[in-house]
Amino acid sequence: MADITGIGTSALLAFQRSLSTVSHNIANASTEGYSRQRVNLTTQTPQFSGVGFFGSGVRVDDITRIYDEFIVDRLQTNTSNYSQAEHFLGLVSQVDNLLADESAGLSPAIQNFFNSLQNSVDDPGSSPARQVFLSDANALTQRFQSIDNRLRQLASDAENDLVNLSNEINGLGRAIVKINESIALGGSSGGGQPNDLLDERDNLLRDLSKLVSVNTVDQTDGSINVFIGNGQGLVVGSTVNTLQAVRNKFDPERFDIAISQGGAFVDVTQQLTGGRLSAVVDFRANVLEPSLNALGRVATGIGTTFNAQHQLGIDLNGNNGLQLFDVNPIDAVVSNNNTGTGTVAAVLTNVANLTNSDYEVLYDGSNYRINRLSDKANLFTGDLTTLNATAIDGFQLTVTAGAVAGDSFLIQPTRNSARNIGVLISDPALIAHASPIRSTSALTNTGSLELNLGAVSNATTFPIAGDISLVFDPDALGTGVPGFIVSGGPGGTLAYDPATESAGKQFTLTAPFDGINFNVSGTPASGDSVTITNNTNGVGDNRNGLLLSQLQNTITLLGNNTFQSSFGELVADVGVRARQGQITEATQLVLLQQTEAERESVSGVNLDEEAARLIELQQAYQAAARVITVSNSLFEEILAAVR
Amino acid sequence: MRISSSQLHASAINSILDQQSALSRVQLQIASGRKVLTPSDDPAGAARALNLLESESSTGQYGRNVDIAESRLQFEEVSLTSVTNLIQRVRELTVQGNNDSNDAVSRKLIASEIRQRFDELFTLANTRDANNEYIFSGFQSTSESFIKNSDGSVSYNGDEGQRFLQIGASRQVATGDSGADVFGLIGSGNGQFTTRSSALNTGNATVGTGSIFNQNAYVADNYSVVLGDQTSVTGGTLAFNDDPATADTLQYELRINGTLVYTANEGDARTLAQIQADINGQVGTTNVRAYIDGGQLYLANTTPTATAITVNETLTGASDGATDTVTGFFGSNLTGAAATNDVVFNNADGYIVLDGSNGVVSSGAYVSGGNIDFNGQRLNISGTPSNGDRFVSSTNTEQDLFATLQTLVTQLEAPSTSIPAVPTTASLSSFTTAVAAGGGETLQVTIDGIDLVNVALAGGATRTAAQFDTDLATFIGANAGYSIVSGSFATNDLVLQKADGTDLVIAIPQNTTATPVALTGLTGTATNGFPAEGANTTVFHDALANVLNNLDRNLSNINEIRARVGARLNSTEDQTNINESSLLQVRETLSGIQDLDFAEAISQLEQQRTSLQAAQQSFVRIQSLSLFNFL
Repeated sequence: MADITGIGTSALLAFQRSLSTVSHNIANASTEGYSRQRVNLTTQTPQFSGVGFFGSGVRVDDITRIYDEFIVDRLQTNTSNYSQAEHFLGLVSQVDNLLADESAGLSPAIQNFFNSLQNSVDDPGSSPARQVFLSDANALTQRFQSIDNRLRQLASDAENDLVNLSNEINGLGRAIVKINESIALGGSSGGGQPNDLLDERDNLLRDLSKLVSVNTVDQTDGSINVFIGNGQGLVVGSTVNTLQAVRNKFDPERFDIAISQGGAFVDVTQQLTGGRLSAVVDFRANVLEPSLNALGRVATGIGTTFNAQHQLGIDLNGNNGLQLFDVNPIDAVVSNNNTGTGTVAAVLTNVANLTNSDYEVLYDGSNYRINRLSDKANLFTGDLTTLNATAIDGFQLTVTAGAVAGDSFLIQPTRNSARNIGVLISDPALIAHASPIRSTSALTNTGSLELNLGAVSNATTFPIAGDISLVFDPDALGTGVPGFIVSGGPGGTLAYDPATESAGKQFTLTAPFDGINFNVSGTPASGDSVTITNNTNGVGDNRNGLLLSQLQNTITLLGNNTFQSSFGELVADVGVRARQGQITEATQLVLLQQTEAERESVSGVNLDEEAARLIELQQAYQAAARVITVSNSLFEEILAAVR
Repeated sequence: MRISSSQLHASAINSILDQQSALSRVQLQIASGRKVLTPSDDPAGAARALNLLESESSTGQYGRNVDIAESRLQFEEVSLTSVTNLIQRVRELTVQGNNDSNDAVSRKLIASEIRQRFDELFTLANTRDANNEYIFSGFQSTSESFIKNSDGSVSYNGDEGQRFLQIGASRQVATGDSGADVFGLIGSGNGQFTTRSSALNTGNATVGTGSIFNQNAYVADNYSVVLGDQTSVTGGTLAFNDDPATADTLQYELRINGTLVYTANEGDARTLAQIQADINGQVGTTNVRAYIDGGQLYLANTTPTATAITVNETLTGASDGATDTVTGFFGSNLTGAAATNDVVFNNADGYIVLDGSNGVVSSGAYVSGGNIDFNGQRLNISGTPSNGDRFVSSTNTEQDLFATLQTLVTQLEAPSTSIPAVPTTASLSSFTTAVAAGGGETLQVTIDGIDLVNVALAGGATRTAAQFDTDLATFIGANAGYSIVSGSFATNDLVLQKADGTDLVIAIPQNTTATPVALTGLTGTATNGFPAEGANTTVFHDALANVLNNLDRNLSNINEIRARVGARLNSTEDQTNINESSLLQVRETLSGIQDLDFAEAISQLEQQRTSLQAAQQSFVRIQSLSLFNFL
């Protein structure tokens, strides 16, 4: 009898526990990261009674969570990948949208600049047209600055992100250590699995994997060690190796991520893969900085080529053209970690060879190496003298002696160009639309001599000290050898035979008049002359202006680019990155959702299932209660029999 | 597969969210009308679109440039039309003024209208456009194109610059012409020289306009072609067939038109140049001038005349007994005493070409209508000239439009009728001071018989070159028609000029009392000009004909420029069409890249909407399914 009651009681207790677990499951049906739990029942130890073993009821063996370790691992990896892709997409979309804006992008400013230049060239003497052109030149530089500024805001956000993310990672590390301790304590006190604590730790790991990729190693006491990135130990035992954002050796506004290892901080920026952290690092290195450089390259390109052509002209006052744009020089930075005294300077040698990359100069004690950072190409290895005599990608370095092995320098050809470009001219009269010289044929010429001046090429030639006059003489270079006798300028003679060269012959005067070149055609009569003079008072001349406006369509930058197409290349680059980001994000999302589905499939709570369990257990519970009732009535029967 | 309840929710919600995001994207595309919302939608397309937008913008700018170019060209065209009309009116007036029925008063009336036209022309030449820029000033567009000088002439103040405008990606058009081109120097005649016959000619030969056959060899100068007799005289030793051992008084005398020009004694030699000098030394009396070219002597009358040139060679004096024969320069074989040979030169079978300083340039046999080539130019004279007939080829008196009008006014107000002379020049050089040995000599130097110097010199006295220069200055001051072209006695390079073209005779009839002293070194050669051809009424008509010629050339020049302007206008119109079609193409391409296909987008929108609805409805349905509903 007691057996029956005992068995019934054990069943009641067991089903009660089971019901409560089912309730727990139902209650946590929507809890993030919850793994459904099962009560495992087992028979009580049977009692031997001579004829055999009599069952003595049921007992709760343990409560386990339904859980697949491999799926959870995969979930962490996928979370990390998705989080990286999603964050990168978010960041790159900002740049994408910024550059795409038709009205706020660089393109309309370039177009306005060249259009108002042409308006001014159409009417070179008009002061209002010149003023409009100057305003549009200012607008262009402001547009450069504003786009640069917005990119730099994104950069500063990214730097803040790095600081915040490393703090967050540190916080999660500490939380994991605490849970580790609780789990280890639970394990050592001999109880069963602390299911909910394990779930909570899994949740923390998942949060961590959103920030950076995570690997765990189980310890015997139930605690885990956590490694992030490429194996940097974040949680080892009860220690948290904290991450810290440290200032870059070249640029104090830029942060690198370092991890504390035995009291020292080691730079692990490149090792931290996965998660939002690496998305920020990736964004900064592959989108933001190349964009700043590319924008700067357009600024340096416009500024330098425009200045060069502008200086070949003369302004309304008849003076040689000045620099129109203030162009940022190439930035060369000495590392803060350098122990030597070597300094570095760089000058632009050929704007057409500039790339969008930065360059690092390393000294190993005997040789200098120049590495292009965009493609890690080694462009130069050699000694100081050769280094200072070698032009690399459009610039030329001047490094002074005194470097110590391990010293490094950073060259940023165009990083700050867009930020610092400006307009140097404020007086509209100083715009050099005119060419410095003109030619005049003598009114008394009887032949068909024509002299057409070509584009001038060397600003130092002008203004010329006096008129240069060419007089045709059939015997200029000896009897029967026709040509021009040159007076003024370089003097001497120029051979020209109308019999064979009347279709046109090209001349360039000798230095220091080598900026002057012209084409002579026709058949001059003896004594016919042409004079080349300074273009005094040539306010209606627009030859240099035409050359300036043609720069719009001239290939001036690397990669067969015009200013406009160079900016277009930047837009396309960022667009491609964003597009790749979208595709990666979509792919990672599917993977993540699949893994989540798998996890849910294994560990998730199905309410219908729980309802069925509930009914099943309720019925079992009712039956067990019946067993007690039956045992009670049996007892009553016996009592009644003896009463 | 086992599904958890939260997953059921999550996946349903995810799919609804996906549908919504797709729907919102299509909706955004429809709202903006653009297929590409951000560069990432089509990175290559976005970059291409930026380039196309630039191309669209600059093509638009080319369109504005074309408008400006057209307005400038049309403005120029209007000015040129006015100039054309003006020239045509002046031409009418010139023709009218050239009429002999006009008296001085009516010619002055015509002249006064031309003065008005001149002012109008000056205003037109200084035309300013809407920006207040002078359109004919070249690059110096804020400076007056033409300015009036104090003497009333007009000179060009601009340059030859032309403003070009960019009217297409690789096309520029000139939008102006320099004033020098439009109103500037236009040659008359054949463009480089004009020809005419001398008014004094008596033959019936005429000269054509001539041409330049070799531009390289062409030397601009005033040339005279003189028709004369080509003799076969080459100079040399007079061959006295004689016995020189025995002295006699036999002499050879050469006379031109009866005037003794040379006397030779036995054994004398004479070069051709000396004979020429002998003949030309008496030109004032004989009116016959000798020239040498190609080793031959030419004789020509200084003024054309029907009178024949008579050359007389005579032997005079007593013979030494033997039979003396002399071969004269002009082909005579004179035998015995007092033999005479007369040769008459009346032909004009040769020509000689003289340059502006009367140097011989070329010569040859005259053939009617044949080519007379010298220094790159070619003349054709046809007909029968008289000996001494002259044809003149002078460099162009190139005149701009203003000067032409001024000439016209001057001619109408005060017609000129006299043809200017070609002045005679004489160069004097190598003067050394006179040395008077015994003293008491008189030094006399005359020019055309007028004393330059006539002083008594003391013994040992000198007359310096500087003193001669002072004497010359006094001489020129006292005698009109003489002038110094260049140089001085002191520098041994004096060039004197006599304005009327008649011969300049320098003589040293030194007077000696005690010891004749040679004044050494005062040598001079006269290069004789041609006398004025005298008054001639045709000169006025010639001048007006020249004006007409100049006007016509100016007119055709302006028409040529108008044609160029018209061609430029055409090319701007062409370019407008090209620009427009390229704009259309750019926009089409741009639209292909950027613009949305609405039909497709709307059907997509509809599809998205339907599937969102389906997702929502199925979610609601599934949500209502729960076992708990049955508990």
